Amino acid sequence: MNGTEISNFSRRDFLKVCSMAAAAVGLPASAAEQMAESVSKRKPSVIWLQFQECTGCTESLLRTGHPDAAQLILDLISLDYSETLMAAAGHQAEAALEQAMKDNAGKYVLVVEGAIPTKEDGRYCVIAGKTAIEMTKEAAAKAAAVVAIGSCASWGGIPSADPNPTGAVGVGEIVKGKPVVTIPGCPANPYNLLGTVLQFATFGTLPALDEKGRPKFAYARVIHDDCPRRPHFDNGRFAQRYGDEGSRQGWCLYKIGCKGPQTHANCSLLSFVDTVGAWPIGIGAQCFGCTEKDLAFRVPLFQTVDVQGATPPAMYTPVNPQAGSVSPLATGVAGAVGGALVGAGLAYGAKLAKAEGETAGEEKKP
Amino acid sequence: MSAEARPVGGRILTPFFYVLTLLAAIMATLVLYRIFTGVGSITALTDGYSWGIWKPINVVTFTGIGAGAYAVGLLTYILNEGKFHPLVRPAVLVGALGYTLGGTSVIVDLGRWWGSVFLGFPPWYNASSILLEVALCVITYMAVLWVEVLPAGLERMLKDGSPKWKAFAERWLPRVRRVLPFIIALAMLLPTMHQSSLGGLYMMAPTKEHALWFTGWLPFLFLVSCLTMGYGSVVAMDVLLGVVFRGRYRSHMKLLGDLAKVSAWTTLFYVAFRLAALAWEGKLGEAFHLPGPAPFFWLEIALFLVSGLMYLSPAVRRNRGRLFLAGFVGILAGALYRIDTYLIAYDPGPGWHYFPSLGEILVTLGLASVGIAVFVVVVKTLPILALGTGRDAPFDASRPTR
Amino acid sequence: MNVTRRTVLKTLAATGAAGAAAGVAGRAEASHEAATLVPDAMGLLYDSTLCIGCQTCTVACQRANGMPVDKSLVTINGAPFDFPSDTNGYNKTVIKLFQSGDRHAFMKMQCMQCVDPACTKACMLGSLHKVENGIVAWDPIRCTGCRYCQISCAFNVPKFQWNEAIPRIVKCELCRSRVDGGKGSACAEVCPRGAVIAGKTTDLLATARRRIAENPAKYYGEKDEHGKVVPKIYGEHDGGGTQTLYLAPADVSFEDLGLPKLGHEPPAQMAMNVQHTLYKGFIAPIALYIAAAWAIVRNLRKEAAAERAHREEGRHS
Repeated sequence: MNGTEISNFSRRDFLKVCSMAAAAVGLPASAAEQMAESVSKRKPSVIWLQFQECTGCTESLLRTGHPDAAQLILDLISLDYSETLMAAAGHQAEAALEQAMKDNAGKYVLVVEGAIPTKEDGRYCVIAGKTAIEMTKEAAAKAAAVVAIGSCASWGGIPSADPNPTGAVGVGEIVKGKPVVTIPGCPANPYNLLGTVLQFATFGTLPALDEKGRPKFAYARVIHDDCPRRPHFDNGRFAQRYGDEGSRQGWCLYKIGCKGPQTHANCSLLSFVDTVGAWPIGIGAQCFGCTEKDLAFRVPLFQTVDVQGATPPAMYTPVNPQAGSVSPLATGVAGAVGGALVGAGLAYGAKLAKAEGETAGEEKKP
Repeated sequence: MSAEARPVGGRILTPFFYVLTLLAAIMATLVLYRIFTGVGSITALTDGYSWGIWKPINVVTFTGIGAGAYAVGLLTYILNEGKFHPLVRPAVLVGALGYTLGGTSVIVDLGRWWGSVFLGFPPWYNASSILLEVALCVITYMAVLWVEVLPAGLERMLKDGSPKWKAFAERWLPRVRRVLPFIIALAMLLPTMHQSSLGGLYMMAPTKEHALWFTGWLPFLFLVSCLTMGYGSVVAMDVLLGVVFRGRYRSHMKLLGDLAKVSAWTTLFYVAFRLAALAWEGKLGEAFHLPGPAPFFWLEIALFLVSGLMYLSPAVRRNRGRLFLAGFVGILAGALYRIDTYLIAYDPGPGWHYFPSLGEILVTLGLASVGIAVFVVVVKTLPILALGTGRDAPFDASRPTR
Repeated sequence: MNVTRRTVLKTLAATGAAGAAAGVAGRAEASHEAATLVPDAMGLLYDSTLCIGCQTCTVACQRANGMPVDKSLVTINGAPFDFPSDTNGYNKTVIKLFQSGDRHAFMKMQCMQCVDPACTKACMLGSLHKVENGIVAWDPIRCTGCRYCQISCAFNVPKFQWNEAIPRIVKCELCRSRVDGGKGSACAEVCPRGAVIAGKTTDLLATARRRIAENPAKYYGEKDEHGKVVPKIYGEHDGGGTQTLYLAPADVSFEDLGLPKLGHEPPAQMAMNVQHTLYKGFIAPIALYIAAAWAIVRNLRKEAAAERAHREEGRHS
């Protein structure tokens, strides 16, 4: 895969992709320039291993909307080993892997796609005589960073669905003693991967990760919190079944089992295949929680889930009403009238009393 | 008994009368507007404060002022202190007007006022409803009061009317006089019932009424304080009339002095009972609890005490102005107690706020104006006030009061 | 002074008799019996621990009852908000949020369907009355719009249409007459989490107790006489019992949610004791009338006799 040809694209397109990647990771615009420069000097080496997977994550990476985007992506990183994309096969391919690991030892990013079977000592996935477990351990040992792309590599994915006959697990179960960045999704959003890898290549740092190793820039919030259909949820407008009135109006899919309220991902914010709306809720299908081990391939599609929020809605009807207005004009008039009436009465009485006293005094005089 | 009563006479269309008419016209306009746009359009009422100033002022305070008929009537008819007769007719007129204004205000306040026709349909009565009892009593009592005013109209007809009306009066006056005792008995029973129940209404809201005002003694306290308001209104009004109609009407100072003594003990009894009831219920501590409506409680007590103590003093009873003040403060005390019970001490819960709107204030003023205007017209044209010296000596500073 | 003191005492005695009876009656034990739960009483169970604040119930209630859209402008903390701020003349139920520091919970407000309601006692002509299943219903024909029901309801349930020429009193009636052809409480029908469910109050109580038994630490409780915190179902005994019941999360009290603290006695009990004792069989008023009439007739006769004697005297002197 060395010496990839540079095809016809402008530096502007190149920078655009870098900007997208930088923005995805939450780095400032200036980072894009730095990324572009770093890459032009020396592309980061990426070794991509695939095990129990459908290759969807690779496809996701390749199927972007920009012209020659596949090539753009391939020009940002040096994909030194990829069973899907490399021209070589058989022993030649294995030799390439060995060579790549040796040449870039301590510097390459290991990307693993697919789950790793553990039953029967990993016999359910053997490539060139090595089990997936062995391959992973060996590659991870000399990797500068380990990234598990997709739900399968992150926590086991579809292969790990009950009854999990192969004992499929995520990379984190195999690679110990080293941080494993997990980028779950089925498929994962390619820009989540791109941003992570480029940040690492340019700055040598990984983005902030949560307790499951997921980059927080993409997985800190749940779909529910950033969903474009949220206003419908907030106002009680729901689709009850596919094709009904609510469904056609694009209302909230919560009641037909959308797992958005418990699924950490950024699908609504960062488009797949560079096409806005190309994600389940966008096309009217309930989110099934593909990033979450507890949801995807476990909880039935139409089963509703609890809405968990760290904080309740910022704008909501409070328990105590704020009702009843006090008109300043009325207050003034009431004060004036009331005061005038009472005051007049008291003053009148006092005046009368005084006059009376004087008259009485005069009458008393002989 | 009414031999000395004569129309005061005099011009009706005075500048003061025009002012009253203007206020009444404003009120009428507002009421007409309200009929077509709903109660909320001219009031600041909300679901938390469903009753505003109209209930405590237009209904309860105006009828409290009108309770002079009841207060003096008790003395005159039940306790046979006939000397108070000259004060009865004007008190009854004030009562009739006060209750009519109160009744009018209720109708204006009723959201579905047309439903009130069913107040005449016993099969639908809810025997548990305190408000129903108040409504029926007030309606009946209003009729009773106007019947009590009727003799004055008939007498005028007898004296000055055309032959046809004279004949009418000749036939009806004796009949009315014959049933009057039974009408008066009603006039003693009905206020006992509804004046107390006007306070009793708030026994239904224990969670919203402040501890200093909420008690099972509410009916009793309202009853006693309606007497003090009634005495106060008769005293203040009689002094006022003597000044306003100088030369034609003389205030019955001796009678007022005696009335003052009765009122003094009634007022002081009220204060003592109020404080004792609170102490017995263990709530006196609330009177020192701030922030809260406690200052209003103290203001009430102060006003009652001032009024009661003033009544006790012979110097006050001799002096028209001071006696007027004592009566006026007595009215204020009773009015404040009612406003406090209905509004200040009423808290529907956090978040609810209320202050009367301009519309409510103008309607209250307009109604009061109608009452005053009609009173003045009636007093000037019908034999209500005892103008002659009669049994009652005019004010004489040299004569000691008993 | 003698005359006056006697006068005063007589006055007070005359009026005090009735009043004193009122005070004594206030302490009388149950001269008016509090009502009890009818066997087929219906209600709702709202579990605040399950509610997610989606407000589908508010919308469904409006639709099922044919209420017009509430166009009143509401602001929350100064910003315009497109949802009703409370139940009102156009909304029979609404979800509210309690929030304080880390604690928060949703609250569904609607009529409590009290076992012994204050409103049905207050209503002059019985417009608010109990119908089948113990539901408190409003009859437009008998209502005068006096709003005494609003004063007497400890929960501030009945709401009034302030800006209508023909206003109504509006409150939840458990969807006993839906306009959309459905049956049963619409709110319970649409709730996606089962936070509000409808049914017979006895069944709802059993459900609530079962939930508490399964997870007592989840629910708000109060200290019993031994000082032990026992999870509480609001409405089981509160205010004499209500057919609509509430469960709250452990760290949020019912008062936080806006439900008043009530004893086991219906709030209107004292008032009813006083009123019914005073006016039982109308005996006291009639007796008072007879006494008054007798006194007046006697006094007037005395006075007439005295007047005649006075005139005779004058003639003979």
